[in-house]
Amino acid sequence: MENTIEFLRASIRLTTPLLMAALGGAFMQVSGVPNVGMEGMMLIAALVGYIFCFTTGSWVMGLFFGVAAAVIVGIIYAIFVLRLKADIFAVGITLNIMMGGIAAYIIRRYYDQISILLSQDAKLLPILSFSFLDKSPILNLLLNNYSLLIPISFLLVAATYIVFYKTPFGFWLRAAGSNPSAVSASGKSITGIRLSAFVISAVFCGMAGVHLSMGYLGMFALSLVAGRGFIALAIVLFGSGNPIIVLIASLIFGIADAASLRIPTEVIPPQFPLMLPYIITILAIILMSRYARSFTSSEQ
Amino acid sequence: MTLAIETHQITKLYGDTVANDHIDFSVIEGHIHAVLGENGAGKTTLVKILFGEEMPTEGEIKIFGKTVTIHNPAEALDLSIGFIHQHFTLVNEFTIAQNFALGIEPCNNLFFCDYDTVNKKVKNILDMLEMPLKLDVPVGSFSVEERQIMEIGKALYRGAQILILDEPTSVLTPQKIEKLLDILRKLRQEGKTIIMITHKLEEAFSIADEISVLRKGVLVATLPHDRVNREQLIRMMVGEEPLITLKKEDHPFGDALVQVRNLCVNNYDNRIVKNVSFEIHRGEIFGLTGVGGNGQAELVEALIGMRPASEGDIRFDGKSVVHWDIQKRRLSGMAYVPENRIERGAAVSLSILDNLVMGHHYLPEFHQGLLLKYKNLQSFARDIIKDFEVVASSLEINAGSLSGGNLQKLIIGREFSLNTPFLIVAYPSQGIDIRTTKYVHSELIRRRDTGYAILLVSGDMDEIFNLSDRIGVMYSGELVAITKPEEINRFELGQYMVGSRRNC
Repeated sequence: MENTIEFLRASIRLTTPLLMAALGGAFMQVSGVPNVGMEGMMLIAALVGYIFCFTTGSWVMGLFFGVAAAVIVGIIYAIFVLRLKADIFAVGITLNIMMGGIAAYIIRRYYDQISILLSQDAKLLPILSFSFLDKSPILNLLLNNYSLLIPISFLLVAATYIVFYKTPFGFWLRAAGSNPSAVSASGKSITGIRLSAFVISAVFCGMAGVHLSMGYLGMFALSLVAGRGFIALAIVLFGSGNPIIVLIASLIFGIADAASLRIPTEVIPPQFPLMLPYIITILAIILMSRYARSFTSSEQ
Repeated sequence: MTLAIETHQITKLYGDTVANDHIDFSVIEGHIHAVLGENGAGKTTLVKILFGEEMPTEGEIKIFGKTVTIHNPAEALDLSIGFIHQHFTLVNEFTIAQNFALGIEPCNNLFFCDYDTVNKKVKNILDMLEMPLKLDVPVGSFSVEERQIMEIGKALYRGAQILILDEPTSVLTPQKIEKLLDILRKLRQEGKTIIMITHKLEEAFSIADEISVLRKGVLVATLPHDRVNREQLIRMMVGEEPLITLKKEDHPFGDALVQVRNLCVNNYDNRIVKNVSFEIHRGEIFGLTGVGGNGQAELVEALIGMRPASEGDIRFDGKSVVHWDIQKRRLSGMAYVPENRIERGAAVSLSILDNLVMGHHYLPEFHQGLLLKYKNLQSFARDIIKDFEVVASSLEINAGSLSGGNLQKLIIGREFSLNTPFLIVAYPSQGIDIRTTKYVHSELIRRRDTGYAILLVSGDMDEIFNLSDRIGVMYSGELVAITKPEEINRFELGQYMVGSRRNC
């Protein structure tokens, strides 16, 4: 029983970074530009957030500057893609590699560390506990006492859904993705709409990164994103930007992630469970490739 | 009588090309004004300037008497100008209301879209247009003509007083065209001003209050509909008799190399080429002309194999090639200089060398097993550059960095040096300078004199008259005339082109 609860809690904890990043990716995806730079955005936010949370002793500062760092990356990405018309994949991948390099440089140059940053002074994201959940012991164990951004990530699913399908901005985003000439004919700027998608996407990825260092791990490691940015991209493509499908897919990946840490090593060599999330990603991509083809052909 | 639109000396240059040349154009409020002209006459440029999609190089625009500068479509919309594009600007996944209100969604409390209000207004507009359409389904499920009228509705929803329609009937069947014209008449009654670009004389006559004719970027005349007749209009569209004629020796044709029999080509369900039959002999230039969009492009694509024929036969050198793919047709002796140099004629991001060897690379002298023989290819490419006077600093620069004329010479050089007995040359002089044009023309005549069969597709009257041994005219998918240049004048050719006359 306790094992089951703990497994579910781990699944939820591991769902959040994927969910948050994928929701951000969805904003760009529906506006017609896939976000290939999520991995780098998450990494730089995780590092900058962690540094600020132990230098200032305030998680608010950590969260703010972590997200700000991701937004700067997002704006650079947007300038290259929207203004300089560079290839979105080339720039995204380059940014990912560059953020890895910058992060390694910073912890080496300023903190004399090889791959990990850990400080006693770090003020991590607060754990939220709701007293109304105390009454039911199961619910309390399952749903209470999570790090700040975990409940927020689930609330953002609803928020994203409402923005996409109920607000003017959501209609502009989706129109920009579906028929850009409809947007320009209505006198709106495609570039402006997509730029805001880049920024929102970066904010979400920033929060996902901050959660990894300041919520989930309580430290920074160069390998802490571990391909989650790409898994999030797969999730976005899989759900074609629909927040509900993004939620379901993120839960599946989160559960797979948690399971991979829990499969006893006597049964299967430990390397195999660790491959699980990536194998699922590849399967998901194969499954959705048929859909992707029809998507690109309707773009033309 | 007030003027809805007045332009003063509007000029638009694209590089050295003059798209609009000092145009004084005015439209009376509440009238339907047709703008006629051949392809490339500058009609679309003029209206794009009015809608802010292009900025004029010089000139002034007045809308309802007020001098304005229109930087972008948003400003044009604010001036109550609506533009109905040739392509659809609807989002297929959205409902009618979501499309009409895109960018100006009304909101109830805070920031949620309020489509109930939109739907009421949409319903009024659709009632007025007599289009009872479902409001709760995505527009992708409607037919082409319904979406066309939806585009008009969208402009009206945005409060357009002036509606500009760019070739609105090109996607419609004849019955649907009548319906559209009825709607436009209705809108005129409601006091809207309508500018309709078309190359179809009949439409202009049946609906317009005034007709303007553009030719080669110049506004030839604007005349009230009752003070002009078809003959005059055709004359204005096609211009005067050509001054220079090229020297071309008469010689007997050889056998019929290309025979097209009852060829039909479909685009989805729409029949674009209807029952076309003709032949081209060795030593002959067959000039195919017509106003753009009457099936010439599709006919050519079917000949070279880019588009399947729906019915009929194409015989080449006695063999039926209708089921052959492009490569097989080319290897059997066809070469093709396409209309669109940049998209089809060349790979502009590749080097000149790469572009020149395409299609030649599988010839035995250029490869050994899987490897290309670069030395041979280079000397071959250098020969073409020299023979066809391509001005380029090296073989390694991108083809895209060449000027239009040089790129055209490169493509013609590549295709002509295949030494195939049949050449298809589409719009060879479009967008290139006079010197290059002359060069291309003399090359075509030289090949003809040595016994090649040439299909020349062109909308340029001078080119057609000067080069062709016989002229075929297409109108709405049919070959309506086959004639000889010495047997007709430009005016008669114009009549064939606009469908007011036929001889086969």
